[in-house]
Amino acid sequence: MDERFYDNWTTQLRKGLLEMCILNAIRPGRAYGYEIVRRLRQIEGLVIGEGTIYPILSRFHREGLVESHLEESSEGPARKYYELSDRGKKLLKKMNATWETIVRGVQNL
Amino acid sequence: MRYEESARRMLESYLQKVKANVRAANMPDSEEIVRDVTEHIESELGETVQPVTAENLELVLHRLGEPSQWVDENDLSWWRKFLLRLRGGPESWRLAYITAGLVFLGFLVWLGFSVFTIPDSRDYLQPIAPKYLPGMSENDYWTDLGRYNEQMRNNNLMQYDVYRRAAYQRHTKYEEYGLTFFIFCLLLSFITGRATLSTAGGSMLMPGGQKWLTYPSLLVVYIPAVLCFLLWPVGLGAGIADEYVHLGCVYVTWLGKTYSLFGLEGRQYNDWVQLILAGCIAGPILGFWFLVLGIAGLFRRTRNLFAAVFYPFLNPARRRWSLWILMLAVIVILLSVALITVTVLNTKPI
Repeated sequence: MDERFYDNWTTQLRKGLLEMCILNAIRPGRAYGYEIVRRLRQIEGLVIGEGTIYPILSRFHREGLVESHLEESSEGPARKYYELSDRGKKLLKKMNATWETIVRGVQNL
Repeated sequence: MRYEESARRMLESYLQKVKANVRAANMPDSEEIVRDVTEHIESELGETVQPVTAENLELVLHRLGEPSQWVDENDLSWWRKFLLRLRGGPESWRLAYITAGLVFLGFLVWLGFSVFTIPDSRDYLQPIAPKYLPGMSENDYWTDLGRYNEQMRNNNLMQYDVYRRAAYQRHTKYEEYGLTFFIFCLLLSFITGRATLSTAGGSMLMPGGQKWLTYPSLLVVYIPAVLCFLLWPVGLGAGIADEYVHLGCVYVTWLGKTYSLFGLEGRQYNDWVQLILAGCIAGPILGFWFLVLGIAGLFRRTRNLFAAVFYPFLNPARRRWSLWILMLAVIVILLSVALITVTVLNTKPI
């Protein structure tokens, strides 16, 4: 029961955090899909199925939070690079502020 | 990038799954997502020895995960959700669908056996129930219903009535088969319903949809069970009263005189006498039974037992329901005493 509850809780937590983490992974500058995944791998246990990020990136693109463009690559076929749009940058700023407030609040409990 | 044959097949099958799942979620840019995933796989395998083996590819695909889990369930239409859950789980959803499906199937068969008919080659209407059920051979069935229709057309009323009755009896038997099957399905769905609760990790963790699929099956069994458990003395009283009244022996002999309820003789007994007699028998037993249940319910261990049997509808933490039963016990006992007093006062010699 406890194990199941914990699993359920971590799944929900990951689901909620993943979108913010993807945006943060693009924040330093443009990045292609695999590069974003590699950055996210540094957060242990965050991404269970790495493919999850592609539908999310696609949704971000549709909602105008990220921009994408194809670029030739010396290592193979053209790569699709993602970059935060102005809207995405503003939204990420708000999301990070909310996250920091929550973390600070939890730590002060 | 070059792949071994088995790896190439594995990759194609995986990308097909990606496409199917992304399309199921109504994403307009499914081709783009497939392209991104392909790019990811190629980037991962960029440094491996070529041609890529199935083992190497499998590692990458394993890290990417099952495409069915990438899509948010809320983006899927209800029937896609249904198919995906049925095909790929989780187990609690599968069981919930099976639970509701069994009830639906049982009801459909019952209704089908009782109501629906189809015309046969002779244009006679026949029930859709299978002919191979015991006592339902095709010949027997046709003999009854076919002749009945024939006599009806010929306006032969005597024979018509004989065959009508035979066909009616046969139809009743079909209904009985349908009802038995329905009850069997309900009991089976009760078991799968309890299994759903267990697999989901308890009612607290069950989503609303699962509850709607599961709870009706549980309630269909629980409600009659609770009623029988609580009110068995009423049935007992009614049965005894019925027996006595029909035998015409509701009287007592005391000091050489015979007394009867309201001074009535056996042949004068009516429904009221039967009702009063049933009340006099059932009332005190019911009151005492409620008293026992109420007192037992005051103990946490008993409440836990009841809660386990009638899970998830009884909260063992609540003592309130046992207090309600105790209050009910007092009311029933008081009413019984009043009824017995009035009855004794109205017992007259015959």
